Amino acid sequence: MTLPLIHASEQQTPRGPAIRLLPSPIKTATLRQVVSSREKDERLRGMVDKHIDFVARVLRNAGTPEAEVDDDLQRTFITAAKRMNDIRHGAEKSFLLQIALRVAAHARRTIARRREVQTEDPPDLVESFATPEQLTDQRQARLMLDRVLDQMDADLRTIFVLHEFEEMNMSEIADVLEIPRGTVASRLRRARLEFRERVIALQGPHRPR
Amino acid sequence: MMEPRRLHEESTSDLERALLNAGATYRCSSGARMKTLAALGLAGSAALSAGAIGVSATSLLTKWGWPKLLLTVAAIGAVTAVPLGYYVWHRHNSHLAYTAVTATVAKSNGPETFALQSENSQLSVPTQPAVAAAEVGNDVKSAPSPRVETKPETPTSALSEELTALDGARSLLAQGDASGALSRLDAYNKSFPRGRLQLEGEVLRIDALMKSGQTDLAKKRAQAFLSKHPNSVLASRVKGLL
Repeated sequence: MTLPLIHASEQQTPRGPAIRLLPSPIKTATLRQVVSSREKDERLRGMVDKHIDFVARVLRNAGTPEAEVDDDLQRTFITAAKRMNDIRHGAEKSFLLQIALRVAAHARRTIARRREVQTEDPPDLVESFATPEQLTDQRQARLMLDRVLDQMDADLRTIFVLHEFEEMNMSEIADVLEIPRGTVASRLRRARLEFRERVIALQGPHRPR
Repeated sequence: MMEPRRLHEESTSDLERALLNAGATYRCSSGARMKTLAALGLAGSAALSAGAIGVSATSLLTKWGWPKLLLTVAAIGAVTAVPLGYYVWHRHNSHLAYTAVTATVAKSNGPETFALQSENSQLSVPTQPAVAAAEVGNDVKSAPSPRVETKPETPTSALSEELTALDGARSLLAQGDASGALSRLDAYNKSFPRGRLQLEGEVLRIDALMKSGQTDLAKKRAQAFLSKHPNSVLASRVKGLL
């Protein structure tokens, strides 16, 4: 919203200068701040409404554990809120994506540090989740997916997630990650190969022939 | 450079498809959305916009199904009905009590005042309900009606007697007579072993113990109170006494 900057006192009438009808510059500035703050709030709310599932999915698939998704969602949107002035209109999604990827990377590093402290490895999922009945279970599928993705290299994982789950094309991925399109293509190839190998390994003795 | 097809489209493995589907269909919970809005300071009324409620309701319906949802609504209804019922009952009783007070006062002032106060009693609100209720106990006892003299066991009179007993202890404590207050509280506990104002009485006792110099006992009772009733509205008062 653009507020008028012309002040009535600058206009002349037959009886002299006009009475100041508009608010003083200070008041106008305050009003502009209020309006601007309200606009920001509305924009932020719109971003949450429109992109929260997308951000949650990226966080989760890029390595944030289920129990920490809520916190990381808040981190992502709070960071975005602090930098609202830097976000171009229409570029909200990619901005949020970049923040979410950084937040998820931080979560992955935290998990890695925890694993260094806790020597106990997570239970092996290969044997316990390989029956055909279990394949239909979404929750177990999620656990298995985590297992597969956790074994991937972080760079490959990010590209795999963006291409396979977010259906972004290679150019979009290259733009967001600021890497050449050729690099995206080669990493994607390797990621898909790794994914398939690990899924085959998961199937173990139940693998269909 | 050709754009590769999605793995989900070209995969022939059920497991691969199941895993890819799990990754692509992840959604955040409505609770997570509300928490995020709250963290951003946007969790006002607008946060509960029709759209948001619609989304939450739809996701709940999908998640729980109709029978569970109806059961939940019924449970919420039952839970809210109890305090609401108590509130209505309390309002009714306090209104009766207040009318009794004004009637007693008016009788001593003459019939004209009585008529005026009876009309106003429906509109006016007592500024000190506890005091008014305490007065009710005294006034009702001294009223000429034979029924009142036989001490009817109505909830209002029992509650007002409890209030009177505690008010006595409180006023003694305010005058600096902590041991007198403790004696009154002992008498209260004897008269109302299952009284409805037991918690209030216990807080007064802790206060009286502190003021009478029995700090250790007071602290012990205060800690017991806090561990038993951590969420009570009186808990902050007890903490303040320590």
